[in-house]
Amino acid sequence: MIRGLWSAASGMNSMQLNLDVIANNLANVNTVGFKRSRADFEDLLYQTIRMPGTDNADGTQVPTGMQIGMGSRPTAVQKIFTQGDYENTGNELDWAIEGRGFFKVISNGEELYTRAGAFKLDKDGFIVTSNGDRLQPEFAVPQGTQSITIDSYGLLTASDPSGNPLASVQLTIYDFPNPAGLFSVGRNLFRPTLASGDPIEGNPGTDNLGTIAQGFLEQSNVDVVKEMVSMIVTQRAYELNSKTVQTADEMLGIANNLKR
Amino acid sequence: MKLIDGIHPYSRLGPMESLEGARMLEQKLSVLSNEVSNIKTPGFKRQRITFEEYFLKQVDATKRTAKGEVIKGDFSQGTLRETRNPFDFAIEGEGFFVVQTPSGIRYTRAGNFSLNAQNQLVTQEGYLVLGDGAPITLPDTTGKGIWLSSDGRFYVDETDTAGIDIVTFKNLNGLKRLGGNLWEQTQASGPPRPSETARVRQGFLEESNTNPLEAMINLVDLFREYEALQRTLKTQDELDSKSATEVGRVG
Repeated sequence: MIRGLWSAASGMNSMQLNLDVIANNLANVNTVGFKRSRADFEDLLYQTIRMPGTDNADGTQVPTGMQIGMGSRPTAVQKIFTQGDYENTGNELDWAIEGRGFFKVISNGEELYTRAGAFKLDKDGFIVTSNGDRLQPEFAVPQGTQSITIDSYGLLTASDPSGNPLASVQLTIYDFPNPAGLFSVGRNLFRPTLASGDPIEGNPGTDNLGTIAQGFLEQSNVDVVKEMVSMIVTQRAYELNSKTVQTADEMLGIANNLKR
Repeated sequence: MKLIDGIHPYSRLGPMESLEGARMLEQKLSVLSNEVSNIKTPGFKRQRITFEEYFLKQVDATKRTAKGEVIKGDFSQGTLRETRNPFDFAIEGEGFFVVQTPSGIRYTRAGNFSLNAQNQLVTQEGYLVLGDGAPITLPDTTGKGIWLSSDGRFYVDETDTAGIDIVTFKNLNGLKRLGGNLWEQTQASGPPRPSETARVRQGFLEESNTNPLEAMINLVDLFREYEALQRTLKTQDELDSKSATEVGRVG
């Protein structure tokens, strides 16, 4: 009885966590380069009252055991790195990676990675993210630049009004063996971990890395309809578990009332 | 299940039977709450609890019985939900993925895998998923992607790279549940053998086969049964008190 109460409570906990994840996904539905998360669950330990295959009183083997589970718990909240949609912004500093790969930026002296390619120029002409973190390799746009172009393979060029190149640099992007293992720092930034593996550097469009699309931004990959449906399911599952808690509670009440 | 053996001919079995019943309903509630708690657990298989009757020693004119509970897994297919994630796999039909854990080989139906930093296919706990009896290493694709054919072969850039093992057992109910979506073989389950009927689908997860409606009805049903038992106990108690205080009163 008390066991049932706790199992159902663990179910409510799981559903609460699931809702937190859904809420964060929906809150970031318009965040450039955002990747949605998904919570995964598993069953908890089982109490084995009788092992399958043991002998019963008259010496025959029982084909089924008797095991009672203790509820559920979350095992992982993983980021799903599917491609978001592209939005055509026409802005020369908006870059989307078409395929795998991350831009590298330096934030507070630390190398972090992002897919949000909405870049700006700072007061010294460096290409930075909206938070002011400099894109790597660092590139400062010289005085008198009229236009900045980047081709699909990452060749970044600043040209003067007559179209003569003033400066150029080859931009590299980075991939990970297991992007789902990256640590989300927030602000669209990811930090490599032991689980993600070390960053693999390369030019866009080579060894399995995506190409760069100038004038486009990668939208968040949150599917609102899908999240809404999960929200409904989560709410109902929460309700169902709460009903179990209630039933267990009322049964305890009945047991308590046996002695008047 | 305890047989109440050697009952004294004059002992009253009514209250005992009611208590036995109450204990079993509590067991049923535990099984049910575990089921609804795992409504979002991939590959979860619910359990059904049924009761068997045993005859007890005949002590008076009525045949007395005791009840024992039997908990069986319900291995019916859960719904397949499309996730479009290339490392989510669902088994259609009878079978389990094979997982290497520090304490030995275990089995699971939860196919929410990922790649670790060594490019090996692992569960969310980091245990290796096995194919052809060895860890599955999937090299980086050069753009054509990693595809799994329905007979369980991985194609990386259209090259057959590895297989994924799907096994089944003679008696699925003999498997031991370990929690963490894992199962362990026992003497009763028999040894694993390759599954003939299973099909693997990539980009899908098998949802738990919990049925919320049935669970709800069971819950209501169980609650009312419990109430009825309580009434029975109260009645037995009243009868006892009548016989103690009123029967045999003179005048």
